[in-house]
Amino acid sequence: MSDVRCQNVGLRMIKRIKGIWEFKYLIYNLVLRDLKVKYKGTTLGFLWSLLNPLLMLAVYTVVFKYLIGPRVENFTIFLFSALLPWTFLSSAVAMGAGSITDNGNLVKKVYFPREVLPLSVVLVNLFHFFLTFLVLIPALLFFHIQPGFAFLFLVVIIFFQTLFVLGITLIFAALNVYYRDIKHLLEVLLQLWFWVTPIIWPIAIFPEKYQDLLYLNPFTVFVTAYRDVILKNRIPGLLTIAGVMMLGILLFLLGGLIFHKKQRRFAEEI
Amino acid sequence: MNTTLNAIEIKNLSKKFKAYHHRESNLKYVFLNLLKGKRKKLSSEFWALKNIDLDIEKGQTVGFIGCNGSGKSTLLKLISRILYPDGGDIDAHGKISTLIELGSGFHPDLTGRENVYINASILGFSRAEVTKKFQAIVDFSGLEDFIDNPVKTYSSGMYVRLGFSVAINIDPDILLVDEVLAVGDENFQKKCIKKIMDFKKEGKTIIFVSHDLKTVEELCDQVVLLHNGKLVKQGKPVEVISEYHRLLIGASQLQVRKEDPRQGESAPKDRTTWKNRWGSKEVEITGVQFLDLQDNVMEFAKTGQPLRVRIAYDAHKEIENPVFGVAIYSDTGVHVTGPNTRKHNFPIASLKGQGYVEYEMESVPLLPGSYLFSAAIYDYQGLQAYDHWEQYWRFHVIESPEMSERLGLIAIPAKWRMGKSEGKKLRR
Repeated sequence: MSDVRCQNVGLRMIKRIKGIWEFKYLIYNLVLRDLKVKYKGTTLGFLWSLLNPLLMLAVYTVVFKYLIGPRVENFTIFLFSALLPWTFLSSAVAMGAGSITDNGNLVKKVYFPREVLPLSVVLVNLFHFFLTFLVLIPALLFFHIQPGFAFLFLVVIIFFQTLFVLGITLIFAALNVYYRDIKHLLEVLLQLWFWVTPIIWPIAIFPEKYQDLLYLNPFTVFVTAYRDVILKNRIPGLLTIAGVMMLGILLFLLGGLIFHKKQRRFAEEI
Repeated sequence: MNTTLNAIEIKNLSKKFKAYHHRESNLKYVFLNLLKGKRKKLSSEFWALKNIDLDIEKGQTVGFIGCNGSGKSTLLKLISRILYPDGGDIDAHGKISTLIELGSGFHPDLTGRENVYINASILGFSRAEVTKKFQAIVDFSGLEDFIDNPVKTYSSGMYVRLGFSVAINIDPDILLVDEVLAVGDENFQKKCIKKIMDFKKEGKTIIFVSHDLKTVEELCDQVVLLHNGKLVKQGKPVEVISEYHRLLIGASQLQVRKEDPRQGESAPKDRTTWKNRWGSKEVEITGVQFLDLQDNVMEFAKTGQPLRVRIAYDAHKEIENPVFGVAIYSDTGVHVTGPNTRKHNFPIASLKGQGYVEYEMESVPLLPGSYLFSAAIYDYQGLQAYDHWEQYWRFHVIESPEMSERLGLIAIPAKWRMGKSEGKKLRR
């Protein structure tokens, strides 16, 4: 039977996702490869994934609490509730942007859904993000925060952040095939984005009437959601949750569409 | 519509490529053009394939042939979905796999075993399939002893063998093969050919792209000839391959006429700028003609029939005891023959003024194809070149009705005989 042409974008998207699902074993293998290669030959191996955030935690606490002086209550947790999700985003996007071009020899030689490459990068970083929770949770207890019912909302927030991160990664991975400068430009853009997002500074340093403007930066929405749960141990407001969901879905669809459109000429352009 | 008999249906397929003028500074030009407020073209387009219609039956082995740039590899990539068409449709019925060596996709720090699993999943294997095929893959590669070493310790030959072993143990309905049989040593190549024959026996559809016409003829049931992005002919291997030869001849004859108005002087290149010419030029070769025995200029030579090559010279002063030599090379660069007048006991006392020397073959032993021809004049010792034109002329050999040999490079005039070994054992 010849294929029935799907005019409907939604149907086509479902078909595409099914196609990617068929390559789930490849995704699994690529994620496993990245994790294996990362720690191959190191003595501490896997422990680095825990040590890294732990050391970071120590450095930031010392610097801000004892050297610069506290401006925010419970600064370490304040910082980490936003810095860890940020690290997930920035490292996934930075690594993922080159995921198609770095695997050019495969893309040119063999067919597989190209989405698999950025997706596996995002999943690797998601895995590292999860690992940092193994450090975060003892740290919470240390700083006298009892994870409560609100923490269940982390599942929702992380899910939609993953969609958000995936969308951005797809866009940059696709654009980088056509414009190789993107990867370098991205480093600067991510730096800039880090400083304009209330990660290391509190929203409260802005006058109240301008604070709403900060929410034009989509990552501020995620930061607020994470802080509500982790720092304040409370369920995020309806507006925040809705924002997180909308941004996740929006970027996922946008990234998926742009990638799908651009990927037609990947094999020629690499 | 009965589509169950076709493995692949291609309708009105077209593909264009972009050639960039400023590939390295793409983004810069985009910005500059934005600033200038105009859209200057960054690239030009050309059609690699145009309006291809082709049905491939299930269970057939089909070869794609054509010159470089004819579009055959592009067509294969479109079928395998690596490239997307710009027009038309491809419908494939069954699981497609490309037989391709992916050793370059290996990660050097991981072991052979780990890389086999990753590589197989890139080719679309499920987890269960890899586990089932793993032993066969390792056996095929012959790398059992090294499979748990990191592949960075492998030689490049081992890389290729392992990469190819993964690819060849796939189990598709439609197998695409693109020039990969030049992989590994001779033994390994034989193993690969055998494996492809096995696929054929199992009734799989195989599409085969190659320059090696002999393998194409041996393996394929059908051959498709592409030229300049168009499908020229489809049919039985023998017919399509001779059409391809005719096409090659036609193409280069057109070239001869365009560049050299003197008919019959088979000079495909510009005489004055030809780089592979050397010598002191006291005597010069002024031309070479390919003639039949009645001195008619031949458009092409025929296997098994006579050919006379006339080498015209112009000696500016008297030259004593010169030696004329010629050489024939196959299209692939094999030196087929290199006779000269001294070796053939044809002494030439002296040359003065203009004249010619002829090299006559009673029967051309060359099989159909395209050949390069060199001609030279040396002193008697062969130390000083007066004029040497290396591989300057090209001529074509086509098949003649009485000669149907086609494997190898030459046809040796020989006979077959048989008899009975009465009581005596044949020694092996």
